[in-house]
Amino acid sequence: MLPYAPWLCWLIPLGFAVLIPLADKIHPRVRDGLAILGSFLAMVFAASMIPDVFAGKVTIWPDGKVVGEIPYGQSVSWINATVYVNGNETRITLGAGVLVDPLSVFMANIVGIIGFLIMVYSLGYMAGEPDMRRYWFWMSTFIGSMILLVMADNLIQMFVGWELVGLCSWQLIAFWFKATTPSPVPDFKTEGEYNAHCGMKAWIMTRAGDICLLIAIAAIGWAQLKAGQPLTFKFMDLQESTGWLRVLADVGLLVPISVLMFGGPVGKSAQFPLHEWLPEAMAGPTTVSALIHAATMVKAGVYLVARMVQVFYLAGESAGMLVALKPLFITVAWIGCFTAFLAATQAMVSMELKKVLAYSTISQIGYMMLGLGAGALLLIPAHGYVAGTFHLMSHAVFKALLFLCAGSVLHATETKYMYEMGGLKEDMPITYWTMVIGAASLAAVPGLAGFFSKELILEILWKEGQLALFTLATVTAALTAFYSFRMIGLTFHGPKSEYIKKREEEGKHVHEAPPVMWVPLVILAVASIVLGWLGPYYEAFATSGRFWVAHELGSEVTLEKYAHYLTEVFATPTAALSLLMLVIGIVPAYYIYIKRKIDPAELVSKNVVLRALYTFLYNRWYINPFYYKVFLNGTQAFSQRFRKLQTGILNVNVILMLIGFVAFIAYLVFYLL
Amino acid sequence: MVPVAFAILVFIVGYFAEETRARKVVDWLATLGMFCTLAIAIKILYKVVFGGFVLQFTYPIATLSMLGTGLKVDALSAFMAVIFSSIGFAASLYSVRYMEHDTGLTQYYVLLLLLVASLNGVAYAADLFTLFVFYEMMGISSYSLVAFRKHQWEPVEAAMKYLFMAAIGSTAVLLAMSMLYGLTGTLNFEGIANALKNAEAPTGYLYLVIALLIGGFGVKAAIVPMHSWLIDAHPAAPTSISAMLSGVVIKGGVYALVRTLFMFFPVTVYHWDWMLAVIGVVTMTVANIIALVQEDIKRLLAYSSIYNIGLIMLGVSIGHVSVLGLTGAMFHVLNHAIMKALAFLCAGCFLHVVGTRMLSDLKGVARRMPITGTCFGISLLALMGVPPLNGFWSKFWIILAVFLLPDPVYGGILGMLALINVLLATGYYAKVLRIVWMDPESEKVKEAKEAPPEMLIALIILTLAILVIGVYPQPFFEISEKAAESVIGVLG
Repeated sequence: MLPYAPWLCWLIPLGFAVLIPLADKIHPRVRDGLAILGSFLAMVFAASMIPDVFAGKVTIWPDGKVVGEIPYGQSVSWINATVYVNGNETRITLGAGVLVDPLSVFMANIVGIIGFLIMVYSLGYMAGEPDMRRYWFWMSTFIGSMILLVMADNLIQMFVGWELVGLCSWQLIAFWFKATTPSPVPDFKTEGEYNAHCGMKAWIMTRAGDICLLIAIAAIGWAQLKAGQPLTFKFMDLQESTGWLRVLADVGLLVPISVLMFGGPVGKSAQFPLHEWLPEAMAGPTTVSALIHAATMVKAGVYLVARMVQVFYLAGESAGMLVALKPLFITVAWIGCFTAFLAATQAMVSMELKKVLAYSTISQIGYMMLGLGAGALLLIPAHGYVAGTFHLMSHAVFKALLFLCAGSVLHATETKYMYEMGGLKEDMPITYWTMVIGAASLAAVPGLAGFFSKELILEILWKEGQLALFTLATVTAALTAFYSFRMIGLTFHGPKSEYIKKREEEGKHVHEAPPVMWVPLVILAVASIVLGWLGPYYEAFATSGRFWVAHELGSEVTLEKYAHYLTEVFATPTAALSLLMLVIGIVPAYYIYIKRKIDPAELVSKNVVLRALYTFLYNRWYINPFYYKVFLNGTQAFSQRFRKLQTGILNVNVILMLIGFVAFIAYLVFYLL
Repeated sequence: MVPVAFAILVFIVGYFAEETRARKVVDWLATLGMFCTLAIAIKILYKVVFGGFVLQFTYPIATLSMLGTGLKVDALSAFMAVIFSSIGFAASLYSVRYMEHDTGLTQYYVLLLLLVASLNGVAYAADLFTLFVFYEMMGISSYSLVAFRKHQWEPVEAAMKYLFMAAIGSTAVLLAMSMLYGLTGTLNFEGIANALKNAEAPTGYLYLVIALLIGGFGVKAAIVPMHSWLIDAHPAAPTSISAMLSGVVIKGGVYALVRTLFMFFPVTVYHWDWMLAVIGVVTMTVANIIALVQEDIKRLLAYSSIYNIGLIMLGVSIGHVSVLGLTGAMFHVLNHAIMKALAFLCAGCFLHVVGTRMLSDLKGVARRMPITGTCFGISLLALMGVPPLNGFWSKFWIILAVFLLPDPVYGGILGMLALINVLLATGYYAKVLRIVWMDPESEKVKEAKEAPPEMLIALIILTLAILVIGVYPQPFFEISEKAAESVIGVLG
């Protein structure tokens, strides 16, 4: 790696973010250049760590000094104290550190590379927007904090990044808060107000998950104290010591606490029951949706699950308590699987192009969780880990691609509703073909990245006979194929909509995106094609380092291994089943939306069952209205009523005060008795 | 010694003003006085924490020294005095422009200086008598400051309410003091502590004293249900005074409570911890629920102060088991003073420029005043507990310490209640941020311009403090820990 790469890859974008407002004073071009340069350097530094992971040892360039093995950690003192806790002197060491291991380097590179591509794309997409200073500032901060999140070697530092990316997400979703066009939903006056509301919804919902995460972190601390260990939240220490795990198991809190730990990822990665913020997050600019709400930030949850499943699994293995951890892995797998299904059904009826993609993001993340959970459940965590993170990578690529394609469609048509598009195929050939590749990868058409990674996950379920999970996951695959091609059909095929025709009459022709926008599309499209074929290389990468050696996966790619990989993906019953599901999904989508042989509106209005189903799905299973009613309106109504207690009349205040005195005395007297 | 040096400065300032009638001279002289105080307070803190130096001052008059010793400085008092003086300095600096259209500024600065002097006196007091005298002095100067704009009805009403309620509290404290004097024959802290240590099993009499102390000091500290003066006094006072009240005056009450409870009544014998924890949680919850629907920006911040007091109480309540909890609480006293003072001062800038406190009229104001808006945003994010800002750390240590308690059920329930409150608070802070930054501009803010530079300096200093403490909390955490240990140490 380059010297200090694990630090610089997040310090540079964060530092540049602070400089951006200053650079703006010099010239807008300097500001833009600085932002791009920051993300480029982050990418270079992140990428320089890849060879180290492959080699299994860390070499500093250019002098070639070997400083350590993977996993390699570096840490400086941050908070150090010896405090009396519960009557004992307890050492609290909280270092600021970085951890270089396959998972962190993998995530840092996804953020770095996709981040850089999207920053370049933004140059075209956001050209001419006001407030670009704010945009670049939050984007750079996001890239820096996200890499901080994944490189951190302890839970607290990770939490710092975790909250910062949430903050960036809030600000960027609400980026267009000045928009004065009418709001898409009737509750708000302007679109700007709606956007601001969406940002806040994301912030508060993800914070609800963070609360669970904090409880779990604190509980792990409690267990460490009880086990007589110093208070530390380092992943490596947690992984290698078993005392805290035993203590938690002894008091019966192991499963509740580990499930609470999973609550943070549920919020961040928009899994059921905290998934409702992500569709609204599409109010932000498309570049933001692509980077934050598809490729990276929502994967922070997957990252943490991968990290913590590893911690729990390895600690549990050395404590001999894997059986006790089973409920955790079952919960992870089921939540993932159910979310995948739930979101896929909602994607089938969504009217907005970006919302389809948002639901599909939720659904695909569900698959990743399923892979991670099921792998650990079946005592083959390395397989689950490889499959889950491989799917993360392929999804990051094809979903970023889909979003950027959607962005160029939105850019050209200036509407987000698919029924206002149609017939764009001829006008935007590059966008069309790259988007078809992306959609096919999402639908898991054999040979594309999505197919490989999804197969690996299904394979695990099949091998170990988890039939319920397997069935649900396969049915979801059919739904995925259906909504992917519905999206393509509605957007690009069929006749042009009235809206487009009207625009053309006004002289606003739909045009292909400028090169600065389509070049990233082509790069991502090529990546979605070749990525799947590199599976064994990824496996070698992901299982480097001493932790996985004992788990039957080596880090060399041989011809034999490659052949095994291909047979595992293509020549199994699951592959045949997936293919069947693909056909089941695509055929109706083809007839209804691409060929336009059947009118979907007529179909739904004629059939009572379909109509009921449509309404149910369109209202998002009524989960979203329920949340609003109970949590938002409920709390506010309660507060309104409760505030009446605060009369402001001095007599009442003094009486309450005296009641307080009486209560204090009564309590203490009661205690005495 | 500081309050003494102070008093002289106050007189000089007052004298000067009457003689010269040169308004700006008073302002800057007062600010200089604040700065000197701050410098001395920091020096004392440095000496106490790193040099093990204990400053002691005994009354020279025999009749007085019978009552107690006078002043004595340990790490906790020095720590508190630095907080008091620094917020005093920021408020005074800010007032130079903020109060420029008011009359009677000499009285204003004299009162402000007196307020800081008496707060420092409370912190440095070594016996109940001295503490009480300074405590009342602090009360009197703050009542008058709340009612400073006496031609309006709102400040006068609020000050009256504050006066009545605080008087009841002081009566309770006085009663408790006299009971303690009757029991032990001394008012000196250490004397009482030693006398009570040798006493036999706790009697009902002493429990009554504890209840009176909690209730009495609780009025200034604004614990529920003694809090109702605060939510009227904060919005009605001039903003620099709201910052003082919220940032430090209520902390004076917390300090007195911590000092007396920990010194006199070991929890292992008297078990007031449960009670304080319940008070803490009730205080937080009540304040947060009402804060959610407030429309007045200063009133909302006032409720949020009560919420933070609840959190501090929670930290204090577990101080005996876990110094970490008390450390967190002390750290939060520091952080909250900075964050809340900053939030109030920024709100004051909005008020100064736009002329309204209603959130509905402040829509989009931060866009017109980007520097103030940024400072305000940072203060609210810090209050929300977003890392890496200072508020995160102290909240984190308090809540972590609660969870770390040996009894997982007790700790777990309290900790979860605290975290739910953190979430509720996120709701209204985020709402305020949305209103001032994102909502379409209202009619009144169309003309708004950035606040004058003298006001901005105070804001920027506090903002930098938030960032520095947030990114590198170690030294501040260490000092808070020393402060917490100094009060716990008396027991052992």
